[in-house]
Amino acid sequence: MKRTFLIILAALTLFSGCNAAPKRFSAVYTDVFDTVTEFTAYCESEEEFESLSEALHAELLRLHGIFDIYDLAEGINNAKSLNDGVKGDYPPELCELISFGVSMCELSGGQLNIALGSVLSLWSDCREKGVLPDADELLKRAEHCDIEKINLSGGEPSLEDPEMSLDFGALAKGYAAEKATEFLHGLGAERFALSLGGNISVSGEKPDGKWEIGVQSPDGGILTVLKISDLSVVTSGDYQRYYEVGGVRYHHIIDPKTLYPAKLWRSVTVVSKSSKEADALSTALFCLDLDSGKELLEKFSAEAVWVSYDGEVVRSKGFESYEK
Amino acid sequence: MKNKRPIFDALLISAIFLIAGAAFLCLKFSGRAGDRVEIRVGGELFATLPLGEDRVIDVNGLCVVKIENGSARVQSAVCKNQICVHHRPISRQNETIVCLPGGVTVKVAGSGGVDLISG
Repeated sequence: MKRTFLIILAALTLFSGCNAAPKRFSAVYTDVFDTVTEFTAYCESEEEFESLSEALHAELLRLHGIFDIYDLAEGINNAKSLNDGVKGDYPPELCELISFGVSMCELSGGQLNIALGSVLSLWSDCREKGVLPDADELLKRAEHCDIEKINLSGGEPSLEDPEMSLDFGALAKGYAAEKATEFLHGLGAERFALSLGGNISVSGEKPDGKWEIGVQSPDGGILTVLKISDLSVVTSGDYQRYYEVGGVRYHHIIDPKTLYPAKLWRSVTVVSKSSKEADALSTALFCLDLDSGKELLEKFSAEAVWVSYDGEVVRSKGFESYEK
Repeated sequence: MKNKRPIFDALLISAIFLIAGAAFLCLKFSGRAGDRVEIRVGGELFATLPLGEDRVIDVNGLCVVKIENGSARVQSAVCKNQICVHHRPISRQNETIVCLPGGVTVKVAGSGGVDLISG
């Protein structure tokens, strides 16, 4: 009998894992980037996590203030100041984001355009009112989306066309997640996962292995589970922000070519080392056909999975290696 | 010490591995249904409630959450856009309904689910 007991004991030990690992903590912020931010980290103590979380929250609020196109920020020029035509010094983060936006526009053949602000603001006004934008008004506004009219001289960017405005909706969260990850590394954090409204950036591994990230299926539930470390995952989907007019669904990702919501895919998820590239690419790929999307993807070290309107799931060559 | 029951031991060890394997597979393929709902206001935990018990909860006058037949949804909310009210009911781990204007999140929790969801 003693022997039986010992074998059971050994089996229990095998399945329990009895080393004293750092504990897992989570925090949620609802006041940055108009979305829900979740921060999960493994720390030795609650105090350690609390101080990390507080510092991270303050950093995210700072970045949010800089990229905000709706409200001015206190004490500094921000994206709204730039759109309003204010001259002067701008924070380096904004200049960096603009440069990144300009290079992504070039690489994507204009598919990702941060100068689309005037078109996007019309859509967003109409979404609030539950009506469709006037087609002529859309075309009129599209004349003020020339990214070449952004002047990036030193730390003093300006817009040559006073009627144009910048919108960082396709980049800001990914860029902020990247900055926040660097910020947390600077504070000594190693094992954490950050989600800015589904823009996910994970660092290191959990004590029991890689982070497990579910990719949402457009119809609800989980499409697939990724096991990753030190990577970012970003999804663009037609189900995220939308409204309906006359029974037709209009979502928030506007194709710069048509000025209307892109209708090629239900969702596109991109995995990349770079969170800002993953964010930008998911939006660009959402508006591109499969071949053009794959071509763009090849310029970066990134993988993607597409879900089409008839439910077909297409993976890029290396995507499978991340799946469980 | 002489082992008098080598076959019995081998059977016992195999049985333990079989049960562990079966339990693992059950957890993996059970659709990762959650067992409780965490409601937060401004990031602070407001309530944790079992998904298995039907009920209606008023969240500080910001919205009303209804738990019914193992899933949760926002029945009504005072916000303007009503995105949370239109969200389909949630029942799987880490699925979340958000009422951003009110700072309310309703999240399904459970053990063994994924860490985060990209979507």
